[in-house]
Amino acid sequence: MASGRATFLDLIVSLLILAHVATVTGVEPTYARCIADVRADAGSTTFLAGTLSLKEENEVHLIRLSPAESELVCDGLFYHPNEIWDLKSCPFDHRVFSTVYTSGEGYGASVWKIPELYGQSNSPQLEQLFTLDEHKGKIRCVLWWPLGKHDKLISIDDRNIFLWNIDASNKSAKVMQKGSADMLPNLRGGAWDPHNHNSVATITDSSLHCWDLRSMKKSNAIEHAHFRDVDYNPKKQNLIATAEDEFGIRLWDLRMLKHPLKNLPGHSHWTWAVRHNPEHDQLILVSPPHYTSARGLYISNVLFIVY
Amino acid sequence: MATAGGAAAAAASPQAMDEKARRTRDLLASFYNTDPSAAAAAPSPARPSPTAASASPLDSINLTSFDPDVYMDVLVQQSNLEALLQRHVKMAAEIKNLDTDLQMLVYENYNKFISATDTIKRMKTNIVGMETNMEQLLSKITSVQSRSDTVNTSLFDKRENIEKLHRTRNLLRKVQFIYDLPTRLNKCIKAEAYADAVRFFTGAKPIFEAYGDTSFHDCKKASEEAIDLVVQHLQAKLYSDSEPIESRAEAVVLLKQLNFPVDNLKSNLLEKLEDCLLNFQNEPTQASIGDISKTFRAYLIIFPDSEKRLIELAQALFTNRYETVRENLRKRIPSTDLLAMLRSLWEDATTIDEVISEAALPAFSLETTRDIIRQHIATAFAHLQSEISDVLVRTPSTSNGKLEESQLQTSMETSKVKVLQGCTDLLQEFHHLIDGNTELLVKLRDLIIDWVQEGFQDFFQKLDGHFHMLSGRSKSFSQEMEPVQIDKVPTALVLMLAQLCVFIEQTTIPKVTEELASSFSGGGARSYEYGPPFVPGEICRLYRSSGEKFLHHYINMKTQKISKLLNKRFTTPVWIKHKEPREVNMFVDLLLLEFNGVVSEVKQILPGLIRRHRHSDSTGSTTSSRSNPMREDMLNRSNTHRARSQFLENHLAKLFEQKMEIFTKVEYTQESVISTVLKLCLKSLQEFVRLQTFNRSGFQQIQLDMEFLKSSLKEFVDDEAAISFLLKEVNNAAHERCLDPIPLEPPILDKLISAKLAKIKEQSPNMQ
Repeated sequence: MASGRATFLDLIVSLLILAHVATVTGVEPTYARCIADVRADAGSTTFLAGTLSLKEENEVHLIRLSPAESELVCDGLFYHPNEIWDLKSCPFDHRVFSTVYTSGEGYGASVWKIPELYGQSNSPQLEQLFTLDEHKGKIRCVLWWPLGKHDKLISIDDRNIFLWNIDASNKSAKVMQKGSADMLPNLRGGAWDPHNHNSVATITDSSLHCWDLRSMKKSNAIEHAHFRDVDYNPKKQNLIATAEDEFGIRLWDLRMLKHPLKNLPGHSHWTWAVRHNPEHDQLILVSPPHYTSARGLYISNVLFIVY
Repeated sequence: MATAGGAAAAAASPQAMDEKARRTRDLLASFYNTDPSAAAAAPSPARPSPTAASASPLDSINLTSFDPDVYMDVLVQQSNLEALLQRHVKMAAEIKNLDTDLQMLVYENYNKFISATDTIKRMKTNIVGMETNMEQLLSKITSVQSRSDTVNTSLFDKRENIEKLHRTRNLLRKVQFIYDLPTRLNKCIKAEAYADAVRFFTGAKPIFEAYGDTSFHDCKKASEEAIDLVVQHLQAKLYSDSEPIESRAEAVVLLKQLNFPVDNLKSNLLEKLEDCLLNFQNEPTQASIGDISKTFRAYLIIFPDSEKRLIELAQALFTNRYETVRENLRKRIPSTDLLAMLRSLWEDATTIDEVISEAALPAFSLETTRDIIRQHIATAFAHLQSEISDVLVRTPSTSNGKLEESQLQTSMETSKVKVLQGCTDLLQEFHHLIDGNTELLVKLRDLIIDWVQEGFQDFFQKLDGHFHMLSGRSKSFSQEMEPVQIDKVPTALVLMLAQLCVFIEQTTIPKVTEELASSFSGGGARSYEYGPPFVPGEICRLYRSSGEKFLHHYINMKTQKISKLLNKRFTTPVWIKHKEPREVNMFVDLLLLEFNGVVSEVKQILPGLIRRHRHSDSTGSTTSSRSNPMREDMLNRSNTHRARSQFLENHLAKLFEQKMEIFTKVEYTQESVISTVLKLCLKSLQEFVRLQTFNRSGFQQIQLDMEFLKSSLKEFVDDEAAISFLLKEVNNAAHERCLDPIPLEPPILDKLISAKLAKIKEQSPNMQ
């Protein structure tokens, strides 16, 4: 999302893009589980979406909201070798993004670069900058530090959290630190604190943990909750929003984790994703599981919560 | 001074003295009077000054400080010639007048002087014969005096003698009295004339004190013995309750006269009274309050200074007795008993009050009674709450289906009955409170009504809070409760709470409101600004929302549990290397077990569905059933590659045309709750499937499991369409996430399912 003019409308647009992926391009019905706003692109509002298809070829779509904001334009369609479970755009280079994918039984994560397009949209190949090969296991997601240039990357699998030092020019990545969540079952994902690049929150089936990246130790935690997603408040430090299976959305203060600040009603079934509006932190976008598939085009199923 | 008298006479003479004469007299008076201030003060107001407006020197003509030169200067300066001439004439006339007046005065004084000389001359002649007479008188008086002296001396001896004799006689009489004293005292004792005895003894006491060691020793001893006897008698008299109060009081007075330590006696007696009161407290039947009040009265008369102590005693008595009542209160006595106690106390208080009103017993009683009744009402509510909570907590906490049979149902009914019956019982109890016609209760009636109404308001609110606490939902309110406890709360309890909330809202509160309106209207002791104390609407709202919360909480708890089960099922195996399905997976059994648990809880606690509700609430499912054939069609053909575009079409059609209303509003019916739980779980199942990648066998396993679930779930819900839709969605999801989606052949499917069914049948006798 263009940082200067991010509006709430953009978030709605992100939903339309899913429709775009499924229909506008006119190819096979594919599913997309992930979409990312290209923050680094200051000039326009663009999104990247990755398809999730077991049998078909998978693609990454570069979609731009036309200046009139009335039309979606597909700026690029790139072949991706595996089905994409997670996609994040690099916050400081609009042509760089990361994906997490499966191939057969294995999981992998890579950082890609979109080649110069020179007008034609069906550019054949993404340039693979580097893969996070050292990371074995069920990788869940890759995190970039959300606010700008930072030469670190985080990858999370179901038990471990890796901190990478990346060098885009040398096309290399090295593991700097590794933390294990030994006893915890099933890490699901996380979020990187925009106010403090040494702090990351991860979620598991039953808890939320904050990590200090310098020591790779867990600091504080919320227990006994079934988190699906977590997002830091972009404006206020120490505030996070979580999405849960049963209790909808909750807002927490990381300094007082015993009880949530607020309980907001979520979807009637699970609430799987939660995001703050980057400019107006009192607007929260949440979505049920449907949203992550092309099928879930029920716009009405996405809740915009103002608190 | 004769001249002054003349002047006074002149001043006092005629009334019709004209202006001039008066002035003359003033002048003369001032002349005779040496006091200048008097002279200055007296004339000035009386005389109109000719030059009133001019300066003071002109006035000072009559004063002693008159300065003729100044006067002349002023006059000449101020007046013209004519005025001076006039003044001259006037002054000449005045001078002439003054001269004649002076002359007259001289004449008068001369006259008086002459008459005085005459009188003196007459006196001189009269006084000459008197001297001889006086001398005669003197000699006579001297002779009389000498005579009387001789008589006096001759009688002196005898007189002294008589006096001595008289003294002796008195002494003898006293001695006699003292010697007689013991016998006399004894006589008095016999006659019970203690007052006389005491009087005699006190009379003799100084003598005994002075001469007790000498010849009176025996006598003193005897009389002291006698008086000891008297004291004993008097004490006995004092202590005996049968004596009339007056004589007891008299005895006290007498004892006091004998310097007997009365204060000791008093405190003894009061202690005795205290004991007596204590007895009375413990065994109220022994003595009547009438006796006690009599005693109080007696003591008041006997010891007038003991009032303060008596007041204290009386107050202590009642404080203690009210304390006993309070203790009884804790045992939760029925209102009638409480009332009886309070009434008797009130009566006692009024009785005692007649004797000592200073103790302010009625006010105290009223105050205490108010407190006690208030407390009574409060404890009654608290009891009811704890009873209800007891009934609820005793709810069998396990959900092992058939083992408990209708236990839940009974405890549901019990708690319902408890709530309703409890409320009506309370109302009846309180009815007693305001029914009585006692003066006491009439005074408190309004207050009681308010308390009852407030009590109900408060009670329902507290009960709601308590429900929340029981359900474990209140963790966000109370800091002590840890979220862990959520898991420990029996789900059946939550469901019961939900149903109980509905029951309270729909049955109990209207009933209570009605009762309150019929028998507890009025009140109004508290100001109207706050509105009526009991607001049924508010309470109803509270319970409605609580009920919904509990219901959702119940569903949440259930689905959460099942979610965990599903999570484990789908995250543990490696689906991509799944082996060929041999039988229906275990997790289906567990799932069905959970469902069975839900069903058995729900069936026991919630009411069955009323037929007409169904159509209104499941419109969504009817539309879905309409679109069903199409989807079935789709599924059948989906494995054929040819139908790919058809598949897409179907998908798109599904997106826009039909929206399955899976999540309808939950109602308080068995069907609604069960189907909501089911739908939510199947939805979760679908989402879990979506996260995995399957090989062919894995897909077939899912297919088999779903097929089996389809047949098993039929018995749980009648909203079959929705269920089969969801199951198919699961199948579709698995299909999408499968690398090689070739379904099982129907015969194999049937075989495996019937094998499973047979197995279940085999096990079912054991389970029961």
